Amino acid sequence: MKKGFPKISFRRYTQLIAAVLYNCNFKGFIDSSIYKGETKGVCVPGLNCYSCPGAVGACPLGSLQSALLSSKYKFPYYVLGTLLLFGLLFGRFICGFLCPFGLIQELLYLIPTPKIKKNKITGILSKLKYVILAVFAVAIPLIWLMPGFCKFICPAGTLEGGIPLVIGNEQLQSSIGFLFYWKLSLLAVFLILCVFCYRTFCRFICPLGAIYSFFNPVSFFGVKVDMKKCTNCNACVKCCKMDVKKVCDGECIQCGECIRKCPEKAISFGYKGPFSKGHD
Amino acid sequence: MNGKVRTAVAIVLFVAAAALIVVGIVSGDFSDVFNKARMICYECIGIG
Repeated sequence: MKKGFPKISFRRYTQLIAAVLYNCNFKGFIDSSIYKGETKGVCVPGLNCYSCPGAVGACPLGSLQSALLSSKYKFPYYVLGTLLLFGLLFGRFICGFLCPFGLIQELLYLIPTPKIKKNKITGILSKLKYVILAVFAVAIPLIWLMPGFCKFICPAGTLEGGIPLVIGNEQLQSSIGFLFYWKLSLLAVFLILCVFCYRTFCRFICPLGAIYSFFNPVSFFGVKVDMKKCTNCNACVKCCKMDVKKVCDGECIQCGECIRKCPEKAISFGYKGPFSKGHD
Repeated sequence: MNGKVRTAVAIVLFVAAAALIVVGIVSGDFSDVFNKARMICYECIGIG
């Protein structure tokens, strides 16, 4: 058998392109500064820290927390509308195709080591992200007026923003304290876990994935099942590395892995929004 | 969720999303997001 470079999938290309498009301010990485242009007001769909030197858009989760801080005086129309629109159009397809931190986790999972397969415990842990969403991304910003998730948990902020900015900025280096080391430790834990357990952060922690999961059943684009062809053989659920109970439930990141595994060819990508026919 | 209910929910949500974005832009929310995103977020990077 011929051995060569492993084939790069369409999904992997899409993830790479999304990561580069979100972070195309390459100058920022050189001079350790962040982009300040007009596009910074536009939220990108995936989890991408707006303090990343390369970021040319806003993080939707950071923007949500920031908007909730001042929601006593002003309802956060724009951020909620944007999240609603992204969720409605794509659901967790965004997690599977358009999230740079999802890409990093998947690349780490490619390292050949023994893997932790999905099981009852991972199924229970997958509910944790809804608690994180409610407590750290909503309650703490509303009650204690601080972006709880960004401040105490977000590993994307540490990896994409914290590390590159601190490395190149002496003033920031002199300001680091317990919080920085705490977030750095959390990042290390997540990155190590991702080598053994598929998308650890997405499955158990990510509040943005939790938000988009609510829209999976009604999203306009993504994976759809032709119920006329489906024989309920469950091959789709068995091959999936996420904690799904059926295709396109809240845990499904619509990666399309099940499309190739379906013996009846009942699963496909496409439009499944209003007025689409023949699909559930 | 059956087809008709799903269609109705999707249309209502789509209209709501569009309306929220338009109202948000008009009321200055876009500027708030821009002003936050153009500054280094010290909480995000683990400093503040």
